[in-house]
This record gives sequence, structure tokens and C-alpha cells, in this order.
Amino acid sequence: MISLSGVSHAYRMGRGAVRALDRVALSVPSGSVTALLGPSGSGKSTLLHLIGGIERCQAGEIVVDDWTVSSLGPADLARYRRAHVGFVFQAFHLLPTLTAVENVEVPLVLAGQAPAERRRRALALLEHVGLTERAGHRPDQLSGGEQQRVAVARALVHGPRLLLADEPTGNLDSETGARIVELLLASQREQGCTVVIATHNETLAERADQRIRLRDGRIQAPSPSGGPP
Amino acid sequence: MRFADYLDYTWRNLTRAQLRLILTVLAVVIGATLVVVMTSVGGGIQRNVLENVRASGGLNEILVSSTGRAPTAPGAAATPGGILDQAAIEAIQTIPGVVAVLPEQLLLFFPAEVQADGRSVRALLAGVPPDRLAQYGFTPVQGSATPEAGQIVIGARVAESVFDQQGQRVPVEDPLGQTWQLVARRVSQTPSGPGAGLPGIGGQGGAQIQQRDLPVTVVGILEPLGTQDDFTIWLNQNDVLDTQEWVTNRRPDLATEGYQALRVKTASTDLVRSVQDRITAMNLQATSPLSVLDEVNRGMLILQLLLGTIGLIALIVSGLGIANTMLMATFERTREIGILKAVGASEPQIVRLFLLEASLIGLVGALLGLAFGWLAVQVGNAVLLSLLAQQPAAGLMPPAAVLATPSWVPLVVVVFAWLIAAGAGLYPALRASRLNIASALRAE
Repeated sequence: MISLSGVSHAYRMGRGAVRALDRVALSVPSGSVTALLGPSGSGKSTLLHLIGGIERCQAGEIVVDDWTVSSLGPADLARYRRAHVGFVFQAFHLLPTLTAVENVEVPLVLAGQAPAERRRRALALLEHVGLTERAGHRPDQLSGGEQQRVAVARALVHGPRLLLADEPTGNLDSETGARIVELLLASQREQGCTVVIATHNETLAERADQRIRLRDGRIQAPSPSGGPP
Repeated sequence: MRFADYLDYTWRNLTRAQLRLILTVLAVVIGATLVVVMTSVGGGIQRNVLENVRASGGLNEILVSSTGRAPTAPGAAATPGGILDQAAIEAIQTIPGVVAVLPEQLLLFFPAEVQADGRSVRALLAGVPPDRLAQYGFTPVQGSATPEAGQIVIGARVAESVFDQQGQRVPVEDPLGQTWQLVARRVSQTPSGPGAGLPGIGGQGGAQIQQRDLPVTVVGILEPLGTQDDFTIWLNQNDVLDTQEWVTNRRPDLATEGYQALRVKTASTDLVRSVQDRITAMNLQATSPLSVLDEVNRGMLILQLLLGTIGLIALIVSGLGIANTMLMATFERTREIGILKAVGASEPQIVRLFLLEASLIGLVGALLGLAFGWLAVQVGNAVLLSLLAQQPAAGLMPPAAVLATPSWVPLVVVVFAWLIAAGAGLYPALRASRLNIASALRAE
């Protein structure tokens, strides 16, 4: 369960401030898939960053399952991200010096898991995303779609309860993007985690349990679930 | 996060910009090498000084002198204080741990020397009671160790310490049985005094320099000891007293003024300090090579710290290079730091990653610097010692090594290099750990 109330966030721009979110309140049921829609600059990424503990909340309250994210200090936020959240970014954000399997292992390395155990787990995830034979390749030796699949494997490797995806298909062609979407949705069904996806992709949004539209940092009338086709 | 994982990540990052890494490490290497070489210069000086101290006598020996001053000019009175008379000798002999006592009447500061065929024998001249030398443990390799009147016993290397008027070394072959001269000089104020007078110098009120030659026969050569005693000529104490009387017109009275010096031998070096304290308590002045060693060591530590500081400054400057490299690394890796934090890295984990990276630069540089420093010391010693070997020996004891690295240097270099490197990496590490994740992820 994700619940936000009165969440506002502003960025400093020169001497002024740009309001990214304005008194946002929403609720996302556990185990559901939610699509965040809206034009660029509408606050989708900021909302994901706040829910995922990547940025600290300036005003309002954010509660994710047992975590009151809005009141966590830096150390607890890091623990929250490490234990509870998986992130998939538009720009993939893999570490360039590590191979695919090593990139997938990173969250487990940070958690201090034993090498043999985490390698077994990472390889299983790579198999899940269909990249077993690319395990030893570095990001610059992988295509965009392959990199994003590695990123999905990394986001899922530690079994997070919350999977956040920020424009996961934005840097991919439509066919590759569709495969990533299938992968995310399949993972959600298998792991039962809550998924929030920020996207421009209406086809992807159609597959979500609920769609939230943002404009100028405010939520527009939430549309009820369209249900599976 | 496991330590092996920290090392693994750090190593991958370090080897990304290899030239920059090499240059940064090189600065540390130079600093560390300089510390090693500089302290080795100090260590070399220390070792040579210590060897000279050791050569002044055995480490189980104590040198005793009177706290009062014997009159050196006619008519002058002895200043009050303990004197080295027979009673003092007997008292010292009863101190537990004392093995033997050797009273000495020295011709130090007297215008007297021994000559062999008119050539100057450069040696310490010491008058002793004839039977005491053997009792003290001196063993002759040739002849006897008992200098009666008109006889001398010479140290093992006296015969090679003979110089002609041009200052050239002219060793004497087979000195046993030869008759040398104990030559003394005095200034006579009488214009036409008796004796074998020499013409006066400078014509100062008719002052004359008179010379007296006393023939002395070499009756014994002592075994080599590796100390100053190898360069000492032992005379009968009466010959020394006669000479002193002739020079000063006044015969020192051993019964009332005592000897000039006593050498006290203890059963072991452990007993030196306690015996020394007992002698000092008798209002006598006692020094031992052992206690001098302590003082020399203390003084030399200061010298080494001064020299080491020069290298240390180079090491600190290399720290600036590390700080620069690490700061560059945080700028270059901004996005990666953001990624690590986004997937759950805590601020302390990021700090540790960067501190470890800086520390490795410092440690690798220090270890390489130690290796280069060691090499420089070996080469320096080889070159300098071969140069010294070509020169005539300046001192009595040739140096064993010119450069000697003190044993504490490797540890200090490693610890200091590490501290400086970690200190240099601290700000970049903190800066990296506090990066805002969202803006770091946007960085290119």
C-alpha cells in the first residue's frame, strides 16, 4: 500500500523555485500496477523519486507499506531503498565497469550477501530476463534493450515489494519497449510486488490497474481501473 | 558490504585512469623514498657515532675521574672533591660486580709524545702501575703486559699509527724490542737554562723551548680489541710522573691528589648502571660508554626526525595530488555514485569506497617508496664506501656503513602515507557520499 497526502516538492532554479509537485494525495493498493501519465515536466519522475526514497520529501507524508518514507533519515532511506525498492530508469543506469551479472548483483553486494549465493540469484534473474548468455558482457557491449533487461533484473534481484519504473521504454524502439513492458508485468505477477510506472506510453498505460494523470504537479481526475483486456 | 567487495570495486575504479593513477602514486613514491633516504643519512651518522662510542671502551666499563681538579700549574691547589687515591681504588674494588680497576695517569694535554726513529707515533699515552695492566685483562700477543721503568706496552695497532713529518703513514715493522723516545717539551723562562735547549721562538723575553728525550723500549704488544686501547701506549706510571714533573716543575703526589682516571670493569653490562651510581655516590665522576650511548641515541633521534621531516613534507605534498585525483574521480563518477545510492548504497558505504581508493594509492606508493629507498640506500652505501676506501682512513675506525635505515622507518612511512592519503581522500569521499541522487543521475 502506497499512500501520499499533501506531498509538495519544489526545485531551486537560480534564485527562484519551480514547484514540481503541489499537494499531491493518492493511494496505490499493494500488488497493483499503476501508470503515472502526463507530459514532460508534469512531476512524474519527482513523484517516483519521492516514493522510492531517492529524494527527500519536503512537505506532506508518504507511507509505503511499513515505511513512513517522508520521515526517514539518510541512513534509513538507504536501507529502505536497498531492502524494499527496485528501480528501473529510462537511461538504464548500469555501472560501466561491471559485467551484466555483476550489475545485477550490486544490490546484494551492498546488502553484504555472500558471493556464491548472490551470483546464483543474479544468474537466475538474468535467465528470467533471457540474458544468460550475455552475463559476462559489459554494458557497452549490450544493446539498449539488453541493458534495460539487465536493469530490470537488477531491480528485482533482492525481491523488492515495490518496483518503480521511470519511462522504462523511453529510450527503446517500440518492439523492444513492448518486450520490456511484458517483462515488468510478468515479474509483477510472479513476485506480487506493487508496480508504479511513469510513462508516456498509452499502450503500456492501458495494461495498468490504475492510471494517474499529472499536470503541473497536480493530479488530474484519477481514472478507475480499465481492468485487464 | 564485504571488505573483499570494497577492494574489488576500488581496484576496478583505480585502474580506469591508469596514467593519472601512476602519476599520483609516483608522487607518494618520491615522498616515501625521500623519507627513507633522509632518515638513513641520520641513521648512518648515528651508527658511526655509536661505533666510536663503543670503541672508547667496553660496554661493561666505567670511566671514573675525580670531581676535584688536580693542579696543572706549580703552586696551584687542588680544588676540593673526591680524589682517585688508593683508598678510592680499594673502595671501588669492594663494590659488588666490580671485576678490576685500572688507575691511569694520562699524558693528555701535555706537550709529550712518543717517537719511533724521529717519527711521531699517534697514540694515547697512559701511565699505569706495571702490574695492573695484566690484572685488568690486557693480554699480550708478544712480550709482556708489564711496563717497568723505561719500558712501554703498545696496543695492537699502535705500530701502524706512525707518521713522518710530511704526515705520511709509515708503519713500523716488528716493533717488539725496539727503543723509542718519550719526547717532552717545556718553555723555560730562564734565558740560559741548563739542559738540551732549543733556540727560542719569537724571541719573547728570551723564552726557550726545551726538549727531553726518554728512551723507552717496547716490551709487549697487546691483542687487538677493536677499541681505543688498540691505539694506546702504556707507560710505567713513574715515567709519566717524571715527565709531568719535568714539564711543570712539580711532581703530582698520587697519595694526596690521586690518579687522573680510573677504569672500572664490571662483571656484565647489567651491572654498569648500579656500579656507576655507587661510584657517583662516592663524590666521583663516573661515565660509561653505555650511558653515553643512551644520550647519543636521544640526540640522534632528533636529527633523524629533522631529516625525516624533509621527506615528510614531500609526502604531504603528494597528499595534495591524491586529493586532486580523488576529487576528479568524484566529478567523473557522479552518475555512478548516484546509481549506487539509488540501488541502496548508504553514505558510509560511499565514504568507505573513496577512502579505500585514496588509502590504496597511499599504501602502494609507500610500499614502492620503501623498495626504492632501500635500493637507493644499498647503491649509496656501495658507492660511498668504495669512495671512502680510496681515501686514507680519516678516523681511527673505518665506517661500516654510510647510510643506515633506522628500523622504525618502514612502519612510520607506511602509517604516515596512509594517514596522509586517507586525509586527502576525506573531503572527496564526503562530497561523493552527500551527492543528491536525482541530480547525480542526471549528470553525464
